[in-house]
Amino acid sequence: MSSETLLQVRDLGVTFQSGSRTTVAATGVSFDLRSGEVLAVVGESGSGKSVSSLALTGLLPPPPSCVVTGSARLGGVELVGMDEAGLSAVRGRRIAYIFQEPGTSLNPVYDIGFQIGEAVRLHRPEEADVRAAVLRALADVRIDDPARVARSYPHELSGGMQQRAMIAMALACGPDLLVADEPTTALDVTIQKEIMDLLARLRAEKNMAILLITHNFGVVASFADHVQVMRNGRIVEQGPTAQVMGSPRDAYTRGLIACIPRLGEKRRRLTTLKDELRAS
Amino acid sequence: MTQPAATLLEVRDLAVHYPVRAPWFFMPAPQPKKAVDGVSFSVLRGQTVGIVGESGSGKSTTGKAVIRLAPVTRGAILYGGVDLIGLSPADFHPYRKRIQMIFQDPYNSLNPRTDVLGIVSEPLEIHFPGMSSAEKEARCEELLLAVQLSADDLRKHPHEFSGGQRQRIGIARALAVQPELIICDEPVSALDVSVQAEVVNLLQDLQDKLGLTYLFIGHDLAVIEHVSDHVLVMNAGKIVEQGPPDAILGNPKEEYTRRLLAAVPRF
Repeated sequence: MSSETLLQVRDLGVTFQSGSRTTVAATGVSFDLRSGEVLAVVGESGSGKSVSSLALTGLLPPPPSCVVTGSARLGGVELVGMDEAGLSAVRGRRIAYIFQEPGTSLNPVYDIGFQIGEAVRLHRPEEADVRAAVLRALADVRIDDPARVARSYPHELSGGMQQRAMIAMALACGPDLLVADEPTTALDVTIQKEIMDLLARLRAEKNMAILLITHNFGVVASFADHVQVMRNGRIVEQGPTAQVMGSPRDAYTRGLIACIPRLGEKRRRLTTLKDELRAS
Repeated sequence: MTQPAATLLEVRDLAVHYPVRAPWFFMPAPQPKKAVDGVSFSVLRGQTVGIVGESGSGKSTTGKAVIRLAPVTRGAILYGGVDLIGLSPADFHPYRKRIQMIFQDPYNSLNPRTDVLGIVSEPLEIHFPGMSSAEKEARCEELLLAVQLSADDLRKHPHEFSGGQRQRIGIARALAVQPELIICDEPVSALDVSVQAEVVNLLQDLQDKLGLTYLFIGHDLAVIEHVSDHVLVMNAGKIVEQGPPDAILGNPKEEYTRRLLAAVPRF
């Protein structure tokens, strides 16, 4: 694995301003991410886990309604405060995103091939054969019949296939970093396993870094190298996955792990976050 | 339990087939889509039967068929010995009070323009038309306290609540008419794991206190194992296997169940 740091985030903060009300969505977020590495950001809804990754490429409302502070350097280039032209060269091309609901991220009136092709035409104008690039991207995500899927419209595909198509679109331009924001939350366990296995293989093949955002420690254990636990916009704990999950220091981390029901475990009641926080 | 529990619901050879239209009028109509095809099981009073399966397995359709939200092609649904299938809408009406449902998506199953009082008291208006407004409000307050919300929440609207709180409002609405059976259609699938644990505990506390019977539909095997007294594994409209949760999920006989179990992340 390359030890070169791809993304260096220091003291990143996101503040929303609405009228006279100020909401700090994230503050003091710092981490390093190397090529080929997977960092999982774990937290509940509203913990600020998504907002810091959206801030990387300016996918938040413009100031004054939203202010991003601190520093995020991708390959040494500062992203915070970069102009729109610079950001749009990074977005999609170097940092790509996949989201929770593939059905709502795809455009219902264009076929899958056109939508992947759009990303290629925009970010890699030097590519002569767009169609070949599209079919290659679909084959990369282990779709058996790329030509048929390229002709399909989103509603003709299952949730798992839609998410594969989204991943193909994200990877068509060979990004250095893939931000996967709850990529399997809306999917069945069997499809979840297929998608996570696929992401693990692609990361190894392409030496791509992945920022995995999730509320479920279950998917983190087998997949992430490092874990960052967020609560109310702050990082409460971070470290290697085995260490954080094996001997969590923070009561909040322990609570998030303890509240997941496990197979074969007979308990009268499920442990809640409140139980764990009260105990400490 | 001191005496053997009585059967509350018995489903026999249930089938829900949706007709598929031919693409052109001169073509023969294709085979109907068999969403549920020959499903039989019983639910004992005061117990929880869990149905687990992937999307498209027919698990939700089975639950919906019990309260006529899906058209039944064939079979019998015996509720306390009475077959619900043949009943006229007027004769079925009292069963709508005895059987309630809570839904997966707490964001889409509550009317955004009505306050909590309006949402929770709507079933009271239908099933207890004689109740005065003061009585209804008192009953709604009691229900909110039962689901661990506060009486102050009565005048708020759904957008002021988090996902977990909205699911509690959905549960309060289902409890309003004092049902016997609640069909829980993926009640915790859309929630954070931390909130999921709270809602699951709440449903179990309410069951103990009120003697409720649940038909609990889900895709998370660990949740289903935790809540159920009896588990059905469904695939492609049929029951693959059924039995007590430790036998089915601890020592599955069918290849399909093993495959489902293998996909669950372990840590």
